[in-house]
Amino acid sequence: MSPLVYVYAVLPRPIATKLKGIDAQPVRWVVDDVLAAAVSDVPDEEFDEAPLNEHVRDLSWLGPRAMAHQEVNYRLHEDGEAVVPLAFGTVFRDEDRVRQLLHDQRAALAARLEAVRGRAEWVITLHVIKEPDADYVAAASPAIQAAQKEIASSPPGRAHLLKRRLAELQRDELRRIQAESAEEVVTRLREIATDVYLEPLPTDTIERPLVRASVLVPRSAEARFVDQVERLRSRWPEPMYRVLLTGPWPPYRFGGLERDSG
Amino acid sequence: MAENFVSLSAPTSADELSLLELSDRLLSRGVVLTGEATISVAGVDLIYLGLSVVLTAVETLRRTREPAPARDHPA
Repeated sequence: MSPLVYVYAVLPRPIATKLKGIDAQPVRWVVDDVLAAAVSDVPDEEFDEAPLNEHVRDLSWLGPRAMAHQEVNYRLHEDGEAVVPLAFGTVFRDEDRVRQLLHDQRAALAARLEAVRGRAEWVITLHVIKEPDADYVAAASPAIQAAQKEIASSPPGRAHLLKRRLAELQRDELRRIQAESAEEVVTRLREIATDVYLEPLPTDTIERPLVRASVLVPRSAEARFVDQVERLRSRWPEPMYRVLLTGPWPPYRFGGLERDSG
Repeated sequence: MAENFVSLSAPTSADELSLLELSDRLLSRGVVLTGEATISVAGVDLIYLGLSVVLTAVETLRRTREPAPARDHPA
């Protein structure tokens, strides 16, 4: 066997660390003229392409290694002013190839470093816990209120017909209310965030969230951002939604976004 | 902290939800340096995989607070 070179992150320059990475291997630096990559050795029998793609689906293998990847990036993100963390499992044959890549992609990497400098990433997810009841929907809908008035003042035959239409209207209005809640969350986040990226949602999951967003936030605005999320949490009557917030993360998502896609 | 607000600081503990969230972060399409002789995770449906397990974990969290409805599990 021979070791492969696992890359955790790219920084503008090496920073002083005594970090241990995957399998407790020491983290070292591969540098070119203007960039530095944090790397450690990993065994090829686990990290060559075929075994890696096999193992990565096994949470018991992935867990400790993903944790080590995150711990290295967490430290670099806390101690360095700019870090582009890489996706899990970016592995090279040797250091020369890492150096070559730092050289070849210098401009793109430098631009990404600038985009995330002094910022952290958060993930917010809005789940529907309980659909609002008919009274709540009616209170938020002038159209439903008007329809209800019309039903009350109509003869029985016509009232029956209107009631069926009302049921359809209630479903539409419920969808509108949910969509507006999702939109309001995103709007409030944008007031503080540098950037918001709406994550793609699975289409066939029962627990499909209303919205799931990665949010890039200046580190200096973190307290304000968390307060804002707390306010969102109490914005709707419980138990309508659950707001899940995780962070601060090294900018895994935003470090990888093309600059013109945000 | 209110019950329906789960805030995880940078995950350092190995609890299930943060591990799944972590996997989702690390395996979704972040920066993958592509170059000659780069070995990398194929990444195809991993976003979906990650998100689904996170959602399942959330559902599990909820079940611990509410009696689970009776349900058939096909073998």
